Amino acid sequence: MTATRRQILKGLSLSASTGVLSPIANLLAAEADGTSGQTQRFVFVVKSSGLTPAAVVPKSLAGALTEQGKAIKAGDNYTTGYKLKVADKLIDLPLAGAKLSDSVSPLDPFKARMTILQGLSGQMVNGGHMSGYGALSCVRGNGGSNGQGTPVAETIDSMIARAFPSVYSHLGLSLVTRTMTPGTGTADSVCYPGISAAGPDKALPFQGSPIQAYRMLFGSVAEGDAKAKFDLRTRVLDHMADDVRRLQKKGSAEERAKLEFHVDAIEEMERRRQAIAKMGPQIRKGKPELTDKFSSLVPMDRLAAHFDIAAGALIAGLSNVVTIRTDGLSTPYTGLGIEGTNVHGIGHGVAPQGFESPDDARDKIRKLHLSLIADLAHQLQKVPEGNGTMLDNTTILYFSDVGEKHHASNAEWPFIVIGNAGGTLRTAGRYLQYPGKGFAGHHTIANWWMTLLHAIGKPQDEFGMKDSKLPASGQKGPLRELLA
Amino acid sequence: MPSLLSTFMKSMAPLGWASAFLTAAILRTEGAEIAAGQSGYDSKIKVFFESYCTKCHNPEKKKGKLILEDIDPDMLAGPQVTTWQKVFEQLELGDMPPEDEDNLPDETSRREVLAWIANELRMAGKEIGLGALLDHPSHGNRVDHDALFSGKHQGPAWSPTRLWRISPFISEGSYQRTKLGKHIEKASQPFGLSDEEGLKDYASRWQLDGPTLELLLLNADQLITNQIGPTQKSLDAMDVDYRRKVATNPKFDEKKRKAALRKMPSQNVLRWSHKELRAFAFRKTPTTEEEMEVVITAQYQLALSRPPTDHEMTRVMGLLSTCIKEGGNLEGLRAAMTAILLSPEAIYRMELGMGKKTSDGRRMLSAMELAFALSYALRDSGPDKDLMASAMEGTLTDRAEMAKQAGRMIDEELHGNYRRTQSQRIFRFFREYFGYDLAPEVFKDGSRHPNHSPSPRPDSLVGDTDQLVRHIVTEDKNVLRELLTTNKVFIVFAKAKAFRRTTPSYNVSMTELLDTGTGDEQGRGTHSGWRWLYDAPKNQRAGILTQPSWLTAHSGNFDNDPVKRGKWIYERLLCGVIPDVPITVDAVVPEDHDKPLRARFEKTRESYCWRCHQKMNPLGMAFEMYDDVGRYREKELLRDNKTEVPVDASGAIMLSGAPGLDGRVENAIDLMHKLADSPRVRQSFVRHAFRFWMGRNETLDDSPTLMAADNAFAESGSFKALVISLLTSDSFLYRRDK
Repeated sequence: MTATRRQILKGLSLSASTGVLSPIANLLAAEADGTSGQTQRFVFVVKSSGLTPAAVVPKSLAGALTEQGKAIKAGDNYTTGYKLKVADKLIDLPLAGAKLSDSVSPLDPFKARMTILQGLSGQMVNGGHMSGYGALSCVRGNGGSNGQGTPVAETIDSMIARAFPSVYSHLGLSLVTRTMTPGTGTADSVCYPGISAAGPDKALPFQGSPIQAYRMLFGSVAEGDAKAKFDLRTRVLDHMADDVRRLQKKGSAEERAKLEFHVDAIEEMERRRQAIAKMGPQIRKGKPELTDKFSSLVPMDRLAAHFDIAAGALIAGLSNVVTIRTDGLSTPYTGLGIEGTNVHGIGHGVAPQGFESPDDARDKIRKLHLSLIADLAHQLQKVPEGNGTMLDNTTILYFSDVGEKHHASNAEWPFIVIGNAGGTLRTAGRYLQYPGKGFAGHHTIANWWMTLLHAIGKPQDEFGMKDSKLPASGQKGPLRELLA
Repeated sequence: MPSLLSTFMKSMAPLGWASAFLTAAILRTEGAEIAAGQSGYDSKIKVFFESYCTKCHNPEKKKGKLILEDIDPDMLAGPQVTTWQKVFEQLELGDMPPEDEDNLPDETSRREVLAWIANELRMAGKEIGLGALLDHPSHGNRVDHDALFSGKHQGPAWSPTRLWRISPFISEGSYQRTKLGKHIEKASQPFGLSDEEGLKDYASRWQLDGPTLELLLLNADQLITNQIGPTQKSLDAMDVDYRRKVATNPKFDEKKRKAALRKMPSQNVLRWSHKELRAFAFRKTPTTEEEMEVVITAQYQLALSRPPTDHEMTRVMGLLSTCIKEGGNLEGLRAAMTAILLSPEAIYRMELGMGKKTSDGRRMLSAMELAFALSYALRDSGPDKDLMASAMEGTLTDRAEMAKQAGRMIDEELHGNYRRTQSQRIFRFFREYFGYDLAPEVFKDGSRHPNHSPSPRPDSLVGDTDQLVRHIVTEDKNVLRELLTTNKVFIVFAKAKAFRRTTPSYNVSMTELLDTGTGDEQGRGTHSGWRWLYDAPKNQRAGILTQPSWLTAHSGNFDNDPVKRGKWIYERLLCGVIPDVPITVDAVVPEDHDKPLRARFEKTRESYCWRCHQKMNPLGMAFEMYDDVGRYREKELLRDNKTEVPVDASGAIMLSGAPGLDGRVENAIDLMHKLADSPRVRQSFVRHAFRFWMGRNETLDDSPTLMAADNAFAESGSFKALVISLLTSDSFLYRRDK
């Protein structure tokens, strides 16, 4: 029955799917037969407008690894000219003893467990302002403006989420900005920022409203729902499902399939509630303190709230994979004193008032993101797990949905990685820069995503599309240097 | 009043459904069957390839990097599924084999091969990108245009029975109308639509996903909390506290104190609460059946604008009494009220066809269904009193009455207070069709467009075009010709002198604008300033496609985008099909700083590219007379930001498929006037209007509907006539199961 229904659903053009969100049954089964090992957690923090390679190089290495090229003061391809030197062979340096650059300095306490990963390219997907789903899937999207389009392949965060199922296997949290809002003028809803997908044509939903995300995840324990109240909700859901099923019995095949989706959503919610009910004490442990910032309309506050929610969801065990979309091109950062322009304007060389250069503003935004990541890591570090802490089994990745700059060519695609996926990644205090394009030993972000898949025990040696200008051999398999 | 749902339940006998829709949803391929799998491949497909394809697609020539010798026919696990999908597409579009080949397959064998590939892909579950997408708005043009307007296809026309998930606009409207929105602090919009360019609200595209359900429940919880309000005890405490504050406020004299006490906070809190629900929730005595009926009826009225049927009453009453037993009055009431707010009818538009059955198996929409369908077609809200009365009296199922009601509503929308939110539905068609409203989404560097980002510059360009569309549609004369060729423009400017700056977007100075332009009654006093109607030089502007908003929306971040513009015209005005960019193609325009844009596109002249690009580039190049933010220009500034070269805006219409239309054009103005003369363009517009109002792509069965609508539009030039024709057509009125 299920198979038939799934087949029917496949025939529908689905904009979204609960596919990746429906593994509770598997989870419970895995727990029942004791096959679940130590759960690994992943947090993907995806900024917009590129991550500047030279800016994440430790201060003490900058002299050797960066150079001053030609500056373009304003306009289309604004650049200070300060750039990372292309390496002709692998650079592998310890971070111990190195001084981190100012914007990366919030991560100083985690220097021993982090890697700055440079030199990978991602030209199998289009660059420009954004690579859309391509960043996490290495496959170009179908149509759409600014390269987003509809997804044509599953993204890495969804793949990992399937490996570590939980109540909300993939939790997407996003600042809703204009480019992400479907013409309704409502900024506070479920949104599809166009970076994560559960498969072809199955964009993953992100919660755009911190307060709603809070209610969704922690609502029941926050209000201390009594048993009676909990059971009443079950009755309501049963009644709703029954309503839909009655309608379904009489509908045409297509409508039945559509309604099956509806019933699925209701049933999934009930399963989730049951699972959450059993997790009561644990959820209370993770529940973040509800403050004004959860319903604030200031982007910075909302972002901080999203990070609190991410920490809470991980600690409570409600989710093991969180993707945070930190901003969009039209996000203003007024809270940081950046007035009169937005991420896009800064990318185009507008220096906000009080800033010497646009790069200063970019530094400040990056520093904010990395401080929030550091806070998240600190919170996880406080929670004991096994012989260590939760942070030991958490990997946080910071990168952009497009390569190296605002209008990226994707010739470089930097990452900052904190954590080692339970000891399977060799990320302890390294500055690792792969040889640039055209040099032996060059690799792409596809290799990096495969590295993660190897690390979690789901190895695959092909990932997404290939960059036709690079030898195919180098685009197969994981980055050996990073695997333990 | 009977509920749509329950009448449906009663009226329909259980039907045994096969998964027939699956095959139907793939492709309507006809022709004799070729054996499935390997044997079919060996006996027919391979032979077909050898006859028509491998002359070029062989290991030596490798034309288009494609080899069709010994392709693996295993579509389940084989390595060449993508190739098969590509082959299917090329063959289906008729792009391959090339028309100039001497040896071309006949239609029957082409169809046979298509059917075989489609079937194999479907069996392997790999039809994504093919059949599944045929229902997608971007694939509407795949139905043969000439066949649609040939008169050979006589229907009968119908739409599938369907549950159409309500749009965010309807949901927003219902929150506002029922004051539900005010019950909820910052209500979150649970429903979304795509933000891709094109028509958005197709009935088959959207369903209820998990996160949306969560949001609906969260909204319902807040709503019911506000309907019931806090306990009397906490209200009293609130008032006591307030009284104390007023009494001790040193700034208040006696008069102020009295005034302050006239309105107590409890009154404010209870403003949106519901008297009956509140009384019910806090009642200490057991509730009676009558009391239950009262609250259930009230909630039905609020959520679905109708009372419950007997059957619904019984079911919800059952739920309510059980819940009261288990959780007391307050929690029991909350539970039952939630169930009503989330009933399927509050989530889907029900178009099941509960009216008269025809001998050919179609069912008409019932009067009530029709009332909702008509209203949602023209507004984001359910039927008004007039329409409801017509439905209740049973007159609405008469086509003349339908036309009258539709005409009345269109008039109200077009000529009523245009700031009403309801009037947006009709105009949304023009935004979705032309896509000019996407101008703010194309990021521009400040230097390309002074004060462009993040100031609301592009938004006001969109507003200008909105106003122009409104002007043309309200006049309702030669609507399409005006949309495509008018030299009229609306330009916003600030009311206050100090802020009076016009945009350079229209190549007109402030003084000239005020001297020669005229105000438009509807344009005055909008919050963003005034809009002035101005006759632009006829050699500079011709219709929506020459508006800065459209040109910006269809441009790149720094340059014009002739491909995007040409593709738009080829698809929206000529109903042509252009396949997706092959994934092996790295479509990047070279950054040459010393060449005009036209020269930078030379690469697309290579034969592999030109096959598709000839359909687009010559159309788009005609718009080189504008820069990428829509300013008219005679010289093009190269990317070196220094050199200027004279503009060459010549172009051509190629492979349009319309008799006599192909040929060279001087520039965009010439192009637009030529296009506006073409019946093909008018029909293409009609096809898109059809899709918007039917919420789906057309099929050959819809041919009579489209031809009638086209005739009505061609004769009168009236958009109103076009819409009325569509809304009284069989395609709109009848339902059948797919």
